[in-house]
Amino acid sequence: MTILIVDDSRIMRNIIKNTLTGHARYANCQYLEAPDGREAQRLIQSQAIDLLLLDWNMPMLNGLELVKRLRADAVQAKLPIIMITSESAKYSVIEAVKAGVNDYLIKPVSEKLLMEKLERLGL
Amino acid sequence: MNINHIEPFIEATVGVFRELFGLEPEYLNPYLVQKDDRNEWDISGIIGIGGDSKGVVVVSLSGQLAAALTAKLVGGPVQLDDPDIVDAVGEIVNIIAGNAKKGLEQYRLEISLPTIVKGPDHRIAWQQNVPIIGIPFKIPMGRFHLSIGLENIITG
Amino acid sequence: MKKLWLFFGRAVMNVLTGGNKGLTDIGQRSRVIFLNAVTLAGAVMISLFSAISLASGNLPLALACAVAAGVVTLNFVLIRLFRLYLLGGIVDCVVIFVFYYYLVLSGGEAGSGILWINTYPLISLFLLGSGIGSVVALSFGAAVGLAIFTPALNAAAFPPLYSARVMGTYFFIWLFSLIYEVVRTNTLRRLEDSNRHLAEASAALRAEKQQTDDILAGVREGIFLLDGELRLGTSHSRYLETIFQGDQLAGRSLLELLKPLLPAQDYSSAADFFDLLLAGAVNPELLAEINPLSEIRCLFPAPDGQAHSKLLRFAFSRLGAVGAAGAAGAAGTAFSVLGVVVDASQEYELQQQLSVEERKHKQSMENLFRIIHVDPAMMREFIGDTEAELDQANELLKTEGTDREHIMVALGSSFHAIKGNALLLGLEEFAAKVHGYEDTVKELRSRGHSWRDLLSLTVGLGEIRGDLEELNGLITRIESFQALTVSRDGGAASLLQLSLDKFVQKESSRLGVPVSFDFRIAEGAAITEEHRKLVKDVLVQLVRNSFAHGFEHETTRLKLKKNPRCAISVQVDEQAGSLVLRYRDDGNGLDIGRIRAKAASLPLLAGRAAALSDQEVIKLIFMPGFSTARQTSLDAGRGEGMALVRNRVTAAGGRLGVKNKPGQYLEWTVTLPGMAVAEVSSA
Repeated sequence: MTILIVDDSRIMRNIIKNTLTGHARYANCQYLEAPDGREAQRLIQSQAIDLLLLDWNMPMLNGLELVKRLRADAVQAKLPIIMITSESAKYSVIEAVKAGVNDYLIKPVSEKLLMEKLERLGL
Repeated sequence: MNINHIEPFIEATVGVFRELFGLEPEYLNPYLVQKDDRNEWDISGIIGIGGDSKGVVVVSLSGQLAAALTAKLVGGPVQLDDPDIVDAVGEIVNIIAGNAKKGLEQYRLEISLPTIVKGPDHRIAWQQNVPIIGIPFKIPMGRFHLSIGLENIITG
Repeated sequence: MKKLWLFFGRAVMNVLTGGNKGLTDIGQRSRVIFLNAVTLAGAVMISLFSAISLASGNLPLALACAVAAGVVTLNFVLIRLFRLYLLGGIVDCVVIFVFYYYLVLSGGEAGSGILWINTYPLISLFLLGSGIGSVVALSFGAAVGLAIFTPALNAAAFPPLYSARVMGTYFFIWLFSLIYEVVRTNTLRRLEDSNRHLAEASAALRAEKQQTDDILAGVREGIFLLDGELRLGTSHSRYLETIFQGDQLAGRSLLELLKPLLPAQDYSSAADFFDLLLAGAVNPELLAEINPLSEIRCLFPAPDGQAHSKLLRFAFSRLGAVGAAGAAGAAGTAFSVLGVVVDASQEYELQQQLSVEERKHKQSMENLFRIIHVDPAMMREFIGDTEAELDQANELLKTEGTDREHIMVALGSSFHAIKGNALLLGLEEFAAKVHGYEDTVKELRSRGHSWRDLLSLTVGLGEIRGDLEELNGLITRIESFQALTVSRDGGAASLLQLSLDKFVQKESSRLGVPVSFDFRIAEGAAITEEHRKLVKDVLVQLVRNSFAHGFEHETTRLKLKKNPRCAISVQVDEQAGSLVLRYRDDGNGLDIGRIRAKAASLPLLAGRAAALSDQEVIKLIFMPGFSTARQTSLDAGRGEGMALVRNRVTAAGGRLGVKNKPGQYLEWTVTLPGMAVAEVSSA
């Protein structure tokens, strides 16, 4: 499985990645990283991704905009996306879900919640 | 300014330190930040707030504490000039501002990307006509400082 | 005509059922009808036979038939009377047995008597049931066989092969009748079973429906179903009507109901949420997390025209499978969403109280700007003084480790001083607001305080500072339009005199106490700019005290032969390098008795109050929180004023003296060291 982690904070990307690799189930996944939406979009177009873990507030192209672009693209319409962001207001979550994210996680990342949400997606 | 608009930021700060570092920050007496106060900190993470209210949230720390917290996040020693410190402080203030929106859901607020100001006695450009409330926090590794200034939110 | 037919039909049914209307069991009922029909038909037939036999001259047969007809008719009557259906059946079967057998034995016209026997299995099986009926039918068959195979009895002289065919026919009729009867009874039994189950089930359903109705009528929650178009179902809890203040809810769209009640933003969030809910693509946990109606304020129009708000909490869950719900929803029959709503308005009312207070506060700011017609220089002075107070309080907050109680005391006295200054300029609203903070401090000190209270007072300081900033901006604008009206020549002292004079006049007209104010500065004495604030704080407090405690009512003064116009005099002197202020009012002086009584009422002093000397009693008025006023107002009663005076004076290294002539005057002497020296030497 190939997982793409997108966050403008390198530390946050590492935290998410370490959280996942700490579980046997995700230890042998291939991990890709991108610091902003534009770089993420480039990566997604160039290779097959199975799961996208995506921040919202990022320079160049923000996470929400990227989701909208991906969902408009027939090839990526089904790509599982979990948004991981500090944006905690309910209207923000609704906006993201409307744009097409499969699930939503509020930072700081809780390991338990992340695992639950991955399980819910059947990943 | 209303205490109900400040408390979400305080709760978010305590929550972030609890979740991210396993620390329980103790808050000291709050006070009014003077716009020309000398800044005794080495690094500040600043997030602007827009939408129904204009304002700013600032987390200020000593270089030592910023390095120590960054070390906790990356899981290894961090030098005082490590670029990861900027990354970490930015992420901390981002999470505080983002999480505080939960307690202010009745308003539509936008938060900016974090800006980091460094150096001893660095200056922060506070907006005019808005009182800034400063809250010093104490954790075992040292002190940090949260400053919040929010324009009155027009209600009703 | 139709009625006649109906009557006729009823009559026939009455005859056939033997007048028994309680025959609900279908099997039994058909049996009784058959029994009566057979009995009646038998009676008619046999009577006919009797008549025919009589006509043909066969008298014995005619008699036998007549008897048989009588027996059958009697049987018909007995069946109707006693409803012993099995017995009636047996009687019929026996009579017919005998009658048919007679027909066989007699042979009849061309041996046609034998033809009747073929109806016997039908009669016996239907009347007696498949078991006994078969035994009787086969017995009858055997008897007939005996008759037609025995030449002596074979009256019609059937050849044996013909007899064998008769028996075969009889046997088959019995067999088919048996099969038919068995099938019929089984079918009936099953029908009865299912009828009984149906009755039980419908009783259970009725009971359940009753329970559901009771729940829906009594529950304090709005419970409802929504179809694919978000229309409410007919079956919802009655409380839903209470919540939405209407009873024609069924069939209406929830979203449309909510539209006039919600702010546009929340409405659009809700619409988005329902789209997601109905689409079924989002998992239920996430849906519950993002439900924007999980706690929502709704504004309901009230009859008096005022909007009435409620805090409602909604929860929704999807019912059934995605595809089915979608398809059925389009048809408008099935419900795809179960919703629950509760009214949490009490909490909301509390919140609203807070926002009313906030609005009041805003109003006061407006008033503040409206009344600014004071001299800008005085206003600047006020702002400077207030800022100094704020800074002082803020420094204390900033100093780490300062005890909270200590901060509270300092905040209280800062608020008090700010309030005094504001009243001095006639900034009533501003003073009232600060008075509110002072009240809060006082209350917190008596009931205990938390860090959050401190935060809220800090926010209060911020508010005051914000007001000051705005005020400052306003004054700058006023200044740019207005030339200074006050001569600055007199410096700080003249400004002080002017503002005190204004304050005294204002208090005088506000309280309806006529007062003359005399302010003198001796030659050589001067109040420098830097000390002006202390002097002003002290004098303001003393003036306030004179009005609150000192001056008697006009009539009292006349009785005491005092001038009805009260008098305040301030004399500023220089003595050995110290500044000496003498403040005198010609009021009642300190009421030692009342102070002593108040002291006696305090737990701290209760035991000792009586033993204190007058001098010691006077000292009590400097205790923070000590006041003889019966209730707190803007004028007096907080007990902070004199404590403030003493603290400020001693902090500056000064001394405070008092001369008390009860009934005549009260004089305060404030000596401030080293204050006028610089001024004097330069003069």
